Amino acid sequence: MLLKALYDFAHSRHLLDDLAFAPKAIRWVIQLDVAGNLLGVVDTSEDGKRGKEFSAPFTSRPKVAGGIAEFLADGITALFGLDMEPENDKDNERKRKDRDANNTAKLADFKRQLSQAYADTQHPALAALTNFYGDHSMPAFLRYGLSQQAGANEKSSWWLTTAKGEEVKLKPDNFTFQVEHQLLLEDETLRDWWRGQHRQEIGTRDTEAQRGICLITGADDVPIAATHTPKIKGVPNTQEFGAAIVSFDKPAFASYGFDQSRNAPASTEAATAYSVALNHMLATNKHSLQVGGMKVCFWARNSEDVTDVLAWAFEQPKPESVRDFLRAPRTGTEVALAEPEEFYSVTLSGNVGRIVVRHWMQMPLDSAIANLRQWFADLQIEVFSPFLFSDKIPPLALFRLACTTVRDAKDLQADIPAQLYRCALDGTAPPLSLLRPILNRLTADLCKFGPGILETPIASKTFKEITDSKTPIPPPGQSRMALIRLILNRNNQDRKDSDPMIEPQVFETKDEAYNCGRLLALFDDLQMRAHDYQLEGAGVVERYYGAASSAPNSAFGILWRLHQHHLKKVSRQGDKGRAAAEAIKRKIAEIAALFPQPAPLQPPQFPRTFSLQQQGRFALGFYQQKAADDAARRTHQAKQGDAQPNKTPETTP
Amino acid sequence: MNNNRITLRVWGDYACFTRPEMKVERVSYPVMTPSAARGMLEAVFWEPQICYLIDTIHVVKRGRWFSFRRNEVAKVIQLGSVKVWMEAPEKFKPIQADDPGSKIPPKRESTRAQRNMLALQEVEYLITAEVRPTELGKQQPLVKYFEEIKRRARSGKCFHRPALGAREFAADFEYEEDAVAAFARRRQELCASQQPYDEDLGLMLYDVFALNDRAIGFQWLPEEAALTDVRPAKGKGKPAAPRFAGVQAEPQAVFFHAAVKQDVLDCHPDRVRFARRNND
Repeated sequence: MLLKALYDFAHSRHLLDDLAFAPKAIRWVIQLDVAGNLLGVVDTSEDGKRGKEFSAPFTSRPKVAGGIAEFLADGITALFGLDMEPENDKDNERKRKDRDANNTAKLADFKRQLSQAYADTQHPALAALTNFYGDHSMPAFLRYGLSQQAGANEKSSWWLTTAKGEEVKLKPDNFTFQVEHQLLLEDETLRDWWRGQHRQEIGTRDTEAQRGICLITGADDVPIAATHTPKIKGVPNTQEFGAAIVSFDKPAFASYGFDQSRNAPASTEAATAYSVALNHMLATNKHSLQVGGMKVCFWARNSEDVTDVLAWAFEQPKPESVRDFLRAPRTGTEVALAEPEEFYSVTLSGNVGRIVVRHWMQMPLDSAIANLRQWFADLQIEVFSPFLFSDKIPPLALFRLACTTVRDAKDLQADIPAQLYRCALDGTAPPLSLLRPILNRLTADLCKFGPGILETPIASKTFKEITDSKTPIPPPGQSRMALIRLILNRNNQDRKDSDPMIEPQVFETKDEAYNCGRLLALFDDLQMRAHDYQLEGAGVVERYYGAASSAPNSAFGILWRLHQHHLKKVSRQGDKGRAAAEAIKRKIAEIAALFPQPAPLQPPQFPRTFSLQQQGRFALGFYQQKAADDAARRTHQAKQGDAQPNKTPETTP
Repeated sequence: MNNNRITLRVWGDYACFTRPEMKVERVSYPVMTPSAARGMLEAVFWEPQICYLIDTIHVVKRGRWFSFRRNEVAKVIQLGSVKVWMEAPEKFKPIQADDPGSKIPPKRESTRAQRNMLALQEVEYLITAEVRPTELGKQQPLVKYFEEIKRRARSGKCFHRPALGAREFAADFEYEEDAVAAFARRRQELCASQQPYDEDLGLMLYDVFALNDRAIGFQWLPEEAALTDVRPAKGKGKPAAPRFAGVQAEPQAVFFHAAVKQDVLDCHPDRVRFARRNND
């Protein structure tokens, strides 16, 4: 089904029209005059690293066996029969011989194509090329050896003298020719000749191939591809020249004595089509997305623009645009969907020479979009300290969400973003086991850096503290809390027992864990007020968050005593202080009333332990209460700011 | 409709009905293939005198997708090395799946290959199959085999453990009188108010062997029978007496256009559309 869908994609997007050419980075242009005299070599690259991309001839012959050169544009081995690393295998005579034979064959193949093209077209430029090849085999602009100012340990390599006279170290770059200001790659006569040649190549391949049934198209008596080309490029953890989805190169991979790709018979045409389709998608960010060590490709059967929303949703969901996406349910993409569209998505990862299909999804496009909208609705959460967010990656991007489970982004296993991607599109619940690493990270960061890490973006003071301690920057609070809320709510949906569904803002509930979290936030706020927001060092959060969220009764016993001292201190700060202390006391009493009190004037009885889900709700209660208090304080300050226009409200970062 | 139909309810924790095009890094078909269903029935009972034609597969539980990686090997066991093992176990060198990058001596040639598998979790199917006599079984009353299958399936006997696509995914099974009734009952027990499952699966593997060859039957003969078979000796040397009756079929994949309609995958050879008729 996957291969068939890709095959259809290649056809509907007309990707198979000009397979004789493919984009190719070519760094060096060898300039000749009509007589074939060398004028110089010009660098096409802009950054001095990678050559400019040209549409270059692309052979369909398999290159694995060696000795195959591309027409007009290739590396120094094909053009001059030179080895990029002449000193490799110099102790191993047999290997060295193989290498030399391959190099000679490649040069011969390159020259054969040139002379054949000349015989067929009589193109004067090719005559110039023949002359160029006539007098020397080793071009003057190449030199093998040490650089001019050679260091002690330098190894020999190839050096190229450009037309300007500079000497540049040669990498495995491609060369091509220009005769009298005409780039041969762009010459229509030669391009036409190559098209014919390519057709012939395909013809030979197909007549030589065994015939049989194709499992992609279902057609019978078609030439069966021995290996599936072109190779698929751009999947993480595969080699640069590409890898294959369908390949049977080891005895243990084949069955019933079938040889090579006859284990999965596919016609040459279908094999090319699906490979070209995948390569096309992997090369554009409209159809693919890198998540961790995986690449996700997605497409709709017919329309082209509708998948844009996906690339946006996972990579760059800016807060404003998410809000618009949720508010305007019947605009944009859906209007375009007059007829039902099928949506496909495949998750690929690499295993050196082979490509692994990690997940495959197919559904109507409108349900994919509906699920996506639900995903963002479930991720909604009040933002603590909502300054304009200037980070490159927004807090609700898939990568940020996935990073909440690890200390450092480089520790991220590919499975987690892939899992989240899947849940977003098919609307299922991420496993509860994800909560454990998220909460562990949260506790660890809170205990080390305090509640500043919950802000979005992270509070500037805390941010500095984190960079000073050379710790990786954790994801902002919104990412963590949004994901915790989504996991809790989605896992709660099917269950009969009544765990509360968590709302985006702080809300009233009888849930013990949620209220304990709120209580801790109030205690923290009270402590800060008691110290006039000038407290240095660890506060109640840094000291007690871990204990309070897992074993509340023991932690809250201490916290309860502490808060009475803080209350006393606040109430001594004049009239305003007394009023504030009363207000906080009332708030605390409201929440404390939900817990049994063994005797009057005694602290209430809190639960002994909290389960994983309860710890999640504790975190959310804590966060939402802090966010609400912070927002209240901000409006208050803004009001004061209005009253006294000279004093600007405090706005960092 | 003839009465030679049996129904087996099969279920298991995991299943992987590997697609031929993605069998190295395995990807499962979303639904059991007819050849996997046949394999399960043959695990319970099979004799050369009969063959199974899979009639329908009811999808009770579709399963969830999940993927994992394992260390496997790239080599296959050679017949020669098995003989060595039988004769002198101490000389036998096993195929090892150790780490190729290992720095710990002794340096060995490792054949490890890490392979991924995209499989299904928690599946349940009802397999309905028609029992047909082969050429070898034409003289026998079919009811004899039919009753034996029933008896064995009811008491849970099997020749080897039936498996869901791959041998490591062992399956449980139970005999059912009526597929439709059993399906309705299971749906109720699972208290699933699911939408009926409809999906066009595209081309699916029907079987690796042509159906006609199967109808002829295949049987190894005991040594005495092979010796009494009088055939002209080819050239000089030993007489070329075949050791089997029937045909030794070449493997030849057969594909069909599969579609699940109302939770049922119809796969009776008379009713499905093959990508290639197996008789041409």
